Amino acid sequence: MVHLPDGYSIAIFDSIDSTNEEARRHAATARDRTVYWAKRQTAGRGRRGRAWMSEPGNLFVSLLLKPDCPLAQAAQLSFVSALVVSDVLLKAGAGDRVALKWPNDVLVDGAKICGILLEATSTGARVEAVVVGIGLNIASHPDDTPYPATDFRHAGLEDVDADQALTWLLEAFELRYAAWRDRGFQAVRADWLVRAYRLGQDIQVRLDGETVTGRFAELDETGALVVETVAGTRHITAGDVYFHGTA
Amino acid sequence: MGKFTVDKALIRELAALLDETGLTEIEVEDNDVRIRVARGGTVVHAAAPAAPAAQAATGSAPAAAAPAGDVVHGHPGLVTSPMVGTVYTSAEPGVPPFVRVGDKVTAGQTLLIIEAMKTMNPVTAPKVGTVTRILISNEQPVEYGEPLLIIE
Repeated sequence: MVHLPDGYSIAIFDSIDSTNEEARRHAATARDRTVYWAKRQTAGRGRRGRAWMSEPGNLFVSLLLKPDCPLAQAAQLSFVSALVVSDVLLKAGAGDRVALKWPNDVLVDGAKICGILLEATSTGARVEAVVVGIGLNIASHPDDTPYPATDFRHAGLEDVDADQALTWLLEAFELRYAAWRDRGFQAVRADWLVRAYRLGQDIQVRLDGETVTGRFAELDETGALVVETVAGTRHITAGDVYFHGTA
Repeated sequence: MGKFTVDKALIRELAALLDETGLTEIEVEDNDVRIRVARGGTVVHAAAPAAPAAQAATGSAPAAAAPAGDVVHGHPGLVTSPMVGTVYTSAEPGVPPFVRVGDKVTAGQTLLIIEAMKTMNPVTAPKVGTVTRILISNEQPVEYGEPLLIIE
């Protein structure tokens, strides 16, 4: 049984193509904070059309939000969402094994435990809706990924089911979402940095036709990754981050 | 690269024009010198003929190759980027682009996706029309206000 915070409504499916697709189909008419939860997905997907393994026992949920903000600010919900998932992991006993990798990967012992895909719909430069899709590995994780992956059971976290994880997730989401709407990105940035993976260490960021190497200095006030390179400081908004010797 | 002298007066004049018109960028070309003045303190000199920086759409979409110095800024059908990010011309790799030059589009139709911080943001058509120019290529980084395409 899922417990919903005030102001939330939920649609539950035994099986669906993709919760993000379902949320997008209702983007124009659904209210802010409508939740789409499926026990399994037949066409779960990640970024740029990558498939997302959707075995029963894991959590597949999309939150439809109507934050009424410029498109450029909607991207900050990426950090909000990653923080929310880390809150759930802390509650499940992961402690300081939890870390966040820019912009929204959530790691336990350096392995990915969750996938987050945000898709906005817009009218001009204003956001109509933002769909936050979260896939959380609870009972299982794929073992054919190009990066290390894990799940609640494998990592020895508290033995919860998807219902319990979703209840915790929505509870944490409401707190973080409200703080972001009231105080903006500053409500997110400091907390994200506290949990940042390998802050201050050397990283590589692969961009379009270029690899930036330098020290991961901080997150700027817009959410861009700040890297200190020998040629100067770079503010990066898109790219894949790599650490020496890990994913 | 050939030697040329920097025309400071011209740059000042263009900068003033930038403020006056509210444009984000102006580019002019005179024989072998091209000068671009953009907001944010960037002044770029380039020896012409240089390939225009952001041309050629992906896949089989015919690229509308603009002559150097062609002014797209201020074009009434110009669609600019609402944010900093990376442009995708199709929904995912391996599928046809959202639009090609010559396509008719309706208001609200998705033209491109811009990704920032792993958030996918659609850029939609502001009006009914025909796509006459595509000014970016797939996976290209774009700045706020950068020209993306033209709908006439």
